[in-house]
Amino acid sequence: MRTIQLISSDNEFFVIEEHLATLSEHIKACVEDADADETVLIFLPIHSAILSKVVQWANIHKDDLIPILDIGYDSDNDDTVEKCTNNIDPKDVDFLKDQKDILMDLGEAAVVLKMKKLTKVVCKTVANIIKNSKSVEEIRDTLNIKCDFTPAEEEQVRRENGFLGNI
Amino acid sequence: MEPIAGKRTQICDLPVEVLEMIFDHLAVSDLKNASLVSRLWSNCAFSSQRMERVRLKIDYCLKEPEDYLMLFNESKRQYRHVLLAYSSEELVLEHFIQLLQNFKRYVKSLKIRPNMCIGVSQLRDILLEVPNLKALSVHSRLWNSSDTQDAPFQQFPMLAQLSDLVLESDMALQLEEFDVRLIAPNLRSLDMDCDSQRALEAYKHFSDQLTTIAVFFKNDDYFLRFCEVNFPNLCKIDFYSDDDQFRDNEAVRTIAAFFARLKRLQHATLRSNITQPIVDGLVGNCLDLSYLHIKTE
Repeated sequence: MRTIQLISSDNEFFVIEEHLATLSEHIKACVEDADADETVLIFLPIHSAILSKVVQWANIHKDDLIPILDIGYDSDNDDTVEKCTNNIDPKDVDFLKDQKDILMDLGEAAVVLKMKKLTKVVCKTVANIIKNSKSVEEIRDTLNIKCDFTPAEEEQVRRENGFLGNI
Repeated sequence: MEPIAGKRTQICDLPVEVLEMIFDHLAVSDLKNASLVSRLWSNCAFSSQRMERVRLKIDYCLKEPEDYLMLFNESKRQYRHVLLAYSSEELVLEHFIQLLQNFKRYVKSLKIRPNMCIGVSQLRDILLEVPNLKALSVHSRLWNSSDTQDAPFQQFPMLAQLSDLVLESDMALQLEEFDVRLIAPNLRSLDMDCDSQRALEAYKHFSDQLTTIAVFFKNDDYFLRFCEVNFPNLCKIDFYSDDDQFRDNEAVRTIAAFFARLKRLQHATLRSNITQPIVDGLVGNCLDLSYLHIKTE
């Protein structure tokens, strides 16, 4: 039987099941050429603390019959409306509740591993953080962003925004 | 949970594509907040396909022309949808055209919306600036304002991409200078009254290519003649007329036949007290019809 092992940046080994390969374009590409009885080792620039969470997330979705975030109601192809954020899989909401501190690490790992579904969930979660913030200051605080505007630049953006509306 | 070693990834460490993906989930009001967070966010929030959802409103009743110029000369944003409003006394055309220079290549839709007059040469001068226009909506009344008596009138540009046109009244069509057939040869959607011979001719000219129309008849003079026109590709219609015609059997037959010929119709809004034969004609012949809204009084 084919075995897939992920090796984290701090040299921890994770033996993963085949289904994870379907959630990650990167792993899928690594495994594609391997024989059925081979052991595939994949070195990743991701710390074990994060990688273990990614594997945990993948396991939550092991039994998904339909990848629900990849179908229909996500208005993904319509540029004239914003995409919805109220359709996050409840299992993901539950999982990410405890991962607030490493949300961006998960996002980074999702990008490295080319995990479309995880990337999307992280994006929707961050979008909700922005939506639920009461002020610009709160967005900066929550997401740890430094304001690098000069007062004049900030004023320019603020004034220009005043003339914008919906289509 | 054991503490995780190493430096935490921050949102600014993620590729800008991820930031774009996040912003695609935000409404314009949230994008405004996001654009005030940092320089990177400011550049990203109002860029690429998110600009499809944003309309820039230039209202000269609210601000002085010079203020707009100062503000938008500093802007790097590529606005695609622009609304122009002005006061009754003067259209500050030169300022508006100067303002357009900052993003005119990107402008896809333009709304001109006070109910005031706009000179035909002024409209022409604006349209000359926006060669990539796809949608034009003029709520102003056009009047003849020849540049000078002697010089020949400079033509309107031909806007090959213009597919959607809204004219608040068909007054514009009464002007020699404004020939919609030459300005918008590839028109697909027309929203205009049909109360004049020239309006009727415009509808006839575009009848094969129109997929959407919104037509109002303020009087009955051209109503039945309009109903004799074929619109073989029409998918959507918004139709308003008064009720006088619906009492005459001959007229009702003409109207019913008009709707029965709209084989591709999917979406119909009828603002009149239409009678049963017309509904029967619609339902029996327009097999793709999926939306029918009848607004009776």
